[in-house]
Amino acid sequence: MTLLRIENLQIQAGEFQLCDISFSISTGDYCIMAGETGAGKTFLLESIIGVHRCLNGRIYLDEKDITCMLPEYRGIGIVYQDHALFPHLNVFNNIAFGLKKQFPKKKRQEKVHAVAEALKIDHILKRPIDNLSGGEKQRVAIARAIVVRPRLLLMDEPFSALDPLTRQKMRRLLRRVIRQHRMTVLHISHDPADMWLLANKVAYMHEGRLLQFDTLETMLNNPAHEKVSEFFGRPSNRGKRIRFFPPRPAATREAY
Amino acid sequence: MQQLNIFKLILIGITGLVTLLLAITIGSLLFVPSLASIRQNLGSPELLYSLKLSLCTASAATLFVMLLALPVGYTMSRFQFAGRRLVKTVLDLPIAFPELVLGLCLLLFFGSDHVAAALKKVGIELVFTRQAIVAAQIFTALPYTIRIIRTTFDYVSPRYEFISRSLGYTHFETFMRVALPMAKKGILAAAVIAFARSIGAFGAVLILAGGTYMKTDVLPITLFLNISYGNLDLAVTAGLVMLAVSFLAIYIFEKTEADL
Amino acid sequence: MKSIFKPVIGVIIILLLFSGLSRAGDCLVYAGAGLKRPMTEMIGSFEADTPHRVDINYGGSGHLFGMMAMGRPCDVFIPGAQRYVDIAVEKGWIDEADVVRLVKHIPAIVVPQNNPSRINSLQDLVKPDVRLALGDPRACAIGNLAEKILKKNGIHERAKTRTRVYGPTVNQLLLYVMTGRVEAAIVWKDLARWPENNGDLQMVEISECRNIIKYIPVAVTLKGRKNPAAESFAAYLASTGGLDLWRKWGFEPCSSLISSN
Repeated sequence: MTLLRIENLQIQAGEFQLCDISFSISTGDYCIMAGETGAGKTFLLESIIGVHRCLNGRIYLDEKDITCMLPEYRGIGIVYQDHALFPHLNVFNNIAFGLKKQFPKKKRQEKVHAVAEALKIDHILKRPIDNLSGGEKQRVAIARAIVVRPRLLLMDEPFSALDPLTRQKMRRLLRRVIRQHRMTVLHISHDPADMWLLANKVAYMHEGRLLQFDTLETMLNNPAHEKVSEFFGRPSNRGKRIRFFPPRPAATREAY
Repeated sequence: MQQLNIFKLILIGITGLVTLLLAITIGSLLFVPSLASIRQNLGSPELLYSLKLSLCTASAATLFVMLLALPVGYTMSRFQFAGRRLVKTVLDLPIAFPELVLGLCLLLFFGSDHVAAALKKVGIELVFTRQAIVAAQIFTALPYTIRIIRTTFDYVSPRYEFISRSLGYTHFETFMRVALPMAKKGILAAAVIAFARSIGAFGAVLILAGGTYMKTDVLPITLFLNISYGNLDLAVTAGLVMLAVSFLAIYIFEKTEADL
Repeated sequence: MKSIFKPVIGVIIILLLFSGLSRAGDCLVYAGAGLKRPMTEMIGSFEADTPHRVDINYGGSGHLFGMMAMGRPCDVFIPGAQRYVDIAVEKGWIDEADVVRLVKHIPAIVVPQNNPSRINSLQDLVKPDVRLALGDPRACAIGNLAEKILKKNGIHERAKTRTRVYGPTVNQLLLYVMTGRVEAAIVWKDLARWPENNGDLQMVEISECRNIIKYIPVAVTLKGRKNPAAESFAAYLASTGGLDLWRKWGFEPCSSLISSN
């Protein structure tokens, strides 16, 4: 069933604009979107949560037109690369932030503890956020976004500031939590490992346009655009790929 | 041996010289009167009156300035709209404006018969009164305060607000729960500057409120009046009180700025 | 060669500028700031008629007096009030014989254009609903004098209740009348001349018996006595041509001078 459908979206921000973006995401999908810096990926995510005004096109969530709906009524969560935790709140209050309007204190505590346990941050709930490690901060940010059970979760390079080992751990943790909560995700990343391990769909953006949106296999074998083939590798005359995109990591193959 | 960086030495030298010059100039205020006469003047009813009046009016002005500067500063920091540049220019204009000109503008506006009559209906009289002092102080301090608040909000990434809104808070709730607490220190600094500017406002206050002795004489007016009276000691004492206020303001400002 | 050329040119330009600024006159005059308009014109015509050059410093009378006290040279002293000359005589900087009462400094009532409160005399100032602006008696000479005039006419107490503002400077009073913030103010007649001519306000004279008239003195200092240019300038101020200029700017010459010319 289609959860998010975007039709011919066009949004302007100063010199930059998103042109004619169309795609749809089904419930339970995990999409990873790649593209060069400045391709408009973050901007697209912010347009989906609703903080930029659309010039043209429509956005549907559950087949309901939300193009002109204010962000607070959309129920779409977002996690940024720089985690953007509220500096004036401690870990618990950061996570509980989105619950305050709907749930009484007791219920809030239950929910926060549940999600904190799943993300293995239940031991740091009382800490202020400025002495957390990068990985901890990112887990708090994810916890804050998913504790309210958003209909759709958007993530903007959540792992890119982490060291490789932490990234590896986070990736597995995230996969488990996402599956447990049966969440639909649109995730920006350039990391092939993310695509192999997490995604069932992959997208590639370039200069404000969505060049291709498909399964990873299709992107690898049938790139629709030169830029896509540059990123994912292009079959050469001799059947070998130029610019090697790493194969699925062997260690996790059976787990997947 | 380390080679000499002459350019750096010259720069440091000039900085030291300018600092020394400022310190001596400001310090000269300290050496004019005797300590006894300062103490005596500090207790004089004249000075106490103007100190009290200054503190009251500047507090009221600061309150109004903050109530106005917060929404305007936030708007200028966050929103793009048609005519934004023009609005920005108009808001910044009074900074480059001599205070006397501002006072003249205020007198012409608030003094004009229609405006004065309309204001009188709601119990406000903005010429030759204490309310006029507050009004003049507001207009003097407002542009500076708006600038500081705008810069403060510029430093708070809008992403925090996007997140808050995605979590179900309306824009207003987000402003109260995220933008305001995150800009807390900058807002405090802005309030301090607003207060200091209000205390120091002279030209606009003189023209709009008239500067009547023991009625609308705030500290700078007391200083000015006593120069005219030839009572230099009291003038200097008023100057010292204002100096103390500025020192305190800059100290708090620097402190909050450093934490920002 | 080129590298040294620029700085040298720069230095020359700076020297030229300075020499231009410090062009030495034959005669140094200190005059009250309120006399700027007639004095500027006076010096223009004096320099055109005679070979002498005049340098002039304008300032508050007290300030000018302070400069003299600190030993700055001064040939001719023209403060806004007699008082300063008296003190200078006391201090021995000026000989009493060299002091001339030149022109009258006359207080007058100013009212907004069209005189909304129909003020035609001093007594009208205390009519009900008249808003008054007076100078601060301690801060400016006209404030002090206005108080004396009101007392002399027995309306000081009543005038007090009508007074909305005591301005520290006389210019403020003009501003408040011009903008219609008050119905009347007492200022110097000569100050009101210019805005009156512009149609910004109207002047109401105070009848001579009720008024207190001050004089603007001219004094050649002891040092200036040795300077022919100073004597010549002081004489020019009191000459027929000089007095005409004073009149033009709202100052009335003292009667003793008119007869002697």
